Amino acid sequence: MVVGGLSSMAYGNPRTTKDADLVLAVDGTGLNRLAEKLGDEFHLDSQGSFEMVTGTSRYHLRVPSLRFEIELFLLSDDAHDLERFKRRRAFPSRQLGMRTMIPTAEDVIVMKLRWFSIAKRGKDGDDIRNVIAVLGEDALDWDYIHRWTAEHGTRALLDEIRASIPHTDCPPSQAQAGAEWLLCERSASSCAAPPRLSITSKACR
Amino acid sequence: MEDQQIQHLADAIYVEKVRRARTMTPGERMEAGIELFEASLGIMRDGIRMQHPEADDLAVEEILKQRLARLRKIQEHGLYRKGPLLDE
Repeated sequence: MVVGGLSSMAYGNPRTTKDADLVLAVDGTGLNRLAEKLGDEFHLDSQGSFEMVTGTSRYHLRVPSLRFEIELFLLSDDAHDLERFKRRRAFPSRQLGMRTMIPTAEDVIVMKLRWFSIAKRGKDGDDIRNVIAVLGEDALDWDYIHRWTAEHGTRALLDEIRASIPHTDCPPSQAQAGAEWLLCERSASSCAAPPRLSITSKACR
Repeated sequence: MEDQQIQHLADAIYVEKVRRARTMTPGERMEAGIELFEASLGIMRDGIRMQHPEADDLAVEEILKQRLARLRKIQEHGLYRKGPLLDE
């Protein structure tokens, strides 16, 4: 399953990334077998490292002629890691010329929030914001996201990020002119969602 | 420029970015990310050549590799610790 920056891009904005992060449901022996199958062009580092957020093991797979890196994460027994893997979806891409698996958008958000809260990496916050903005609030299963953010203690962070997203779905006829051009009429149901920018929440009152 | 104007400008830029992303397929967005990385490596190489005009292509690649490794170390500081060795 492709995770990390590439999976955020599948749902959000393109951004530069220096590696491909993959989660594999194999053990160390399986990893070695995979490396053998890939052939001489790939080099699997035998030294692993423990990732501190979910406690999963990571190994590097390198193609010496390339700077782009491949990180292999072994599926851990972390509850969300397991559920994310179970809910993975097929991602056939003509663009990339392959069929792979990616997490659902909700799981990208939940995992990125964990990383953002612990590692404070700006790119994780941006990825969360972009996935929500590009897909639109209505496309996401908020009950599922809220269940995990309550578990991980990241709900306040999520609400803060949601509040920072400008309202992007106004039909041009509803956008108001002048400095407050982002304002638009919002339906009662969308106003029930947490306020985003203060100028848009004003339009709901 | 006042803070509110800057905020409106930033929002306008962001809204445009989101609209553009919505016109792309997920695969196109992923591919663009990898291409962006390649493009940024090109700029890093140019920067190395500027700082080290004597360096040939091989030396430039070596410095680039060192810089990327250093960046990775900084970004991953405190997030990983040494893990198990794979059986060879």
